[in-house]
Amino acid sequence: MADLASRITKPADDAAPASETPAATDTAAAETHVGDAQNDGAVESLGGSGLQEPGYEVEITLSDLQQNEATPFHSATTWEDIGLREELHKGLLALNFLKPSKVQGKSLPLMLSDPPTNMLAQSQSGTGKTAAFVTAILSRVDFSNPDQPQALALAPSRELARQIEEVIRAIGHFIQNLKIAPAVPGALPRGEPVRSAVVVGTPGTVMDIIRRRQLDVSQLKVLVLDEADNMLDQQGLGDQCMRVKGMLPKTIQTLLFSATFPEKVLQYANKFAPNAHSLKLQRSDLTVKGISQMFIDCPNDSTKYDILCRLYGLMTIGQSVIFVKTRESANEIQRRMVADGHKASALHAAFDGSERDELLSKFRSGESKVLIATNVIARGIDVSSVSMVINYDIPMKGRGDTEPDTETYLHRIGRTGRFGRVGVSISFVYDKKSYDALSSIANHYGIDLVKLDTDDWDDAEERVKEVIKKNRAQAAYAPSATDPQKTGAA
Amino acid sequence: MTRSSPPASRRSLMLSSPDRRFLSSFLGEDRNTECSHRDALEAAQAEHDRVREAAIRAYQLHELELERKRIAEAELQEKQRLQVEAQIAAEELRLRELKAKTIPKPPPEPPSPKVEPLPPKPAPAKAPAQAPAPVASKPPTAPTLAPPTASTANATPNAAPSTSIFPPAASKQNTAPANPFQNALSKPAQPNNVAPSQPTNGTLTPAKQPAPVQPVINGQAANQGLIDRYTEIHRELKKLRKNLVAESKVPGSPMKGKLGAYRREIRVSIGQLTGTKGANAQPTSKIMAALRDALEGKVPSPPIDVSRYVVDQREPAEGALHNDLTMPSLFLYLLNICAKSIVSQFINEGGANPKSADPIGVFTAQVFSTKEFMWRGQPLIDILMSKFRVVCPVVFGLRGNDKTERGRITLGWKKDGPSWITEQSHNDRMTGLGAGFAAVSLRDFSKSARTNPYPPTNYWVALAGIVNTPVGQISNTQYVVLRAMIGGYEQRFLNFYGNAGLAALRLALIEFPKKAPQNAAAAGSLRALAEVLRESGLVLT
Repeated sequence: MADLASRITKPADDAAPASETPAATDTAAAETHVGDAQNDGAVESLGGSGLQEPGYEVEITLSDLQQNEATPFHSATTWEDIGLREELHKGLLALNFLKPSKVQGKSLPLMLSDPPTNMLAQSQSGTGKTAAFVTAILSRVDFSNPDQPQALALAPSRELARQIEEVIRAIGHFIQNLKIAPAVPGALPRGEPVRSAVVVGTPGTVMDIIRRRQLDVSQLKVLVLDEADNMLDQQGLGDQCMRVKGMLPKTIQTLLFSATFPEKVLQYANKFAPNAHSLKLQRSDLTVKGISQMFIDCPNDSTKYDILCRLYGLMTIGQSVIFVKTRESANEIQRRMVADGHKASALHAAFDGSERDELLSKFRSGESKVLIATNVIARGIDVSSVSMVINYDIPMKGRGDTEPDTETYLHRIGRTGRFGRVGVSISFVYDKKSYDALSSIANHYGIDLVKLDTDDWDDAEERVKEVIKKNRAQAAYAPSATDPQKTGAA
Repeated sequence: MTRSSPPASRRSLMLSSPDRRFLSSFLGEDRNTECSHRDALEAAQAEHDRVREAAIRAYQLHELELERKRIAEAELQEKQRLQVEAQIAAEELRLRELKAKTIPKPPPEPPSPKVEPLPPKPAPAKAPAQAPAPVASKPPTAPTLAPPTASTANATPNAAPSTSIFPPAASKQNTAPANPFQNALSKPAQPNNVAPSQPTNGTLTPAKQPAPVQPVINGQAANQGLIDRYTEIHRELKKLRKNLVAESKVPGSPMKGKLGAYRREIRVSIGQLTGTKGANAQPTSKIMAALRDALEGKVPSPPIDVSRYVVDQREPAEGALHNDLTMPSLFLYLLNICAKSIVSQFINEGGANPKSADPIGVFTAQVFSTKEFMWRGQPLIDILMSKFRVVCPVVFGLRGNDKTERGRITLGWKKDGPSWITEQSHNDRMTGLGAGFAAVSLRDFSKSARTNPYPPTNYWVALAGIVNTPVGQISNTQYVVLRAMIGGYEQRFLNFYGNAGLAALRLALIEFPKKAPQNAAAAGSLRALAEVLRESGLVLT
């Protein structure tokens, strides 16, 4: 045995130095290897290079490139490397965040370096952006002064703000004196000054409490914009954000996070957060490769529901989100699904804030397993066990819904495949218009959409299994969350 | 004692009273004469002697008493020792008998023909899975360590020798009388001892602390028989699945179209389970109806020998609904699909949200404890467990190195094509499966008329199998599974095991992480869990 082992070990030893050779091809291979390894903070995966010799006792090791701090591929790969305060480290471990994900490993050292520098970070959905900036916030705040507002996080919707608040609470579990103020409509008592170190809210409410002098901004050190493109682009929000920013100290460290940054927003973003470090992605890398994207060509609009229900038999589904265009169809689908034994709830703008909070928290806790939603929650909402997203209606924008909404599509399907998990997205088309819209979205991102035939459900089941399998294998070779070459101060 | 040394004042009284001379003599003329002095001295001497004698007598008495106690104690100990020895002897005898029986039987059961009875199980259903050879290693497993433990359910674990509350193996024997685990020696994780285990939950739950049972953890070989048998069952199930699917595709087959429809229906229903009270009636009854259809031949299917899918050898049992050698193959197929979906749901949903495993555990217990779905009076849960054996071997005491190819194979690390799945995905799976295992094995049947198909002893054995891993063999995977097994289930575990459970948790959350190899990030998460529990009032240190 020992003999065999030693023989097998050799080729691997040889292979390692090979990956260091500077020859262009080799570097490319190594790069994918590194990327892949970092994709989920899973460093030991055996991707790329010639290391796949199925030798029994071969050690599965980190790539040498990644271990070498001198190379641009280096990133922090353990929480210890980042040097967090102990309570924070413990909080992350308690949440089972055993190692930093790539975006966390990349961005945290930059965000925490002194003097504080602005940062713009793009990373695919579900790669740990929220935990990254929350960790940064909690590292920056001085908890010996717990009543003094020191950090401000802004999000485009109350759901998202609430979610960020929960993440802060969870990661900061072991920090004493941690107080968080939710600056969303109806959550703060009127006229009372905010006595919390961390404030999370929507731009409108935050603007209000600053104007009313409820929020003392003088000591704010960090400003975070989650879903930054949305925050800066949307007419109303962009305006509000700019005004909020204008009321804050000039020295404040500004951090912008999103999965998408369209060109025009990017220019604006540079004004908002000057001289920022930036981590960006190429357009073709935007979609999370672990999500299997399929579509079904339904004979007509009325068969969609029947097909929808049968989809749940094709694979094991944890939770699922169904995106629809109108409140009415959301309600109708919900009614029928409940009758079929599903725990389904509908979420749309007809519900008021606290109702929406409650619906979402039921979904988060697993009490309901199917969420039927309009675009209200297309962005950012993280329920980690969502394994299927259905585009019951293809997302459209523009006057009279003439134009396919590519960004929304991306954010929608990003509700699944969180943190490297398996996810499936299925889009329904039933006429020429929806078909064309979906094709144009697929072309835009270079997605290889798989058509799912539903004439024979046995075959469909086989097909889905195949697609998921193939996709997962591909995901291992996908470029990683943040391309190392694009790193650096602008 | 008191009598022998009265207080000084009284002594003088006693002295003077006999002749009433004291006072008068004190005042008399002759009080200083030699004679009176001598009298006084004599009296004093007498009193001294009396006291001394009394003291000596008391002392001797005390010594005798001590001696008596000592002897009684020795006797008791001796008795206990004898008892244990007798048990060990009996166990050994049984083992020898077993070995004798096992070895002769030859059939390596390759593509075993249908009705062939499982070879290895001639044993009295006790030690089913015995693989001939490896078992031998067990007897040596020091029964010695055990004795103190088991007899006194409660105090035991705490008192246990500092190193481990899990005295290797054998201890179960001591508990013998009511002990459900007699057979544990041969196959600790054994579910199929259902028969014996029936008494278990009877005694278990109400009594709150069943004596912790010691699995044979000292080596992987220990329950090798069981482990191998599960692998075999798993293979058989795969065959069954293939055959039946092929059969259902044959034109004219009564299963055509039905097989897939049932399969998908079961999958949908399991996916609908949630933790809300009463919310699971609809999906549960749908699945039960599908199983019944198959059982009653609504969709006819060829009968198949059930013994291939259970670990132990079963004889027809009184009162059982299915005592024939066979059951409809469609029923076994669907039960298998059920098990598959359960495991898959644990992996896919439980990995991200461990809480979701619990309702699935409830459902599992419900299906497998349903009398109609049993064979020869015992549940068919081996079908589910054989799957666990493949996807999450560490709960059966298997150990391996996360960093080597061979180790990963042993640990159930999955591959995607040529490469291993990422560490994150692996940890996710293990989290879901650990939580799922707890959800299945920590069910409380104390208020149910049914029998627990997979009683909590299995949880204890799994926990012990991980916690007792020797330092060199510990892997990160074990920490991940352990954390998932404990998180959210600590209360349930304590309800079953009381103080013993507390000691076990201390070992798992405080001591075990200390032994972590450097790369085991998950050990930190166990420590963090201990802190979270402390905040909720569970202090382990």
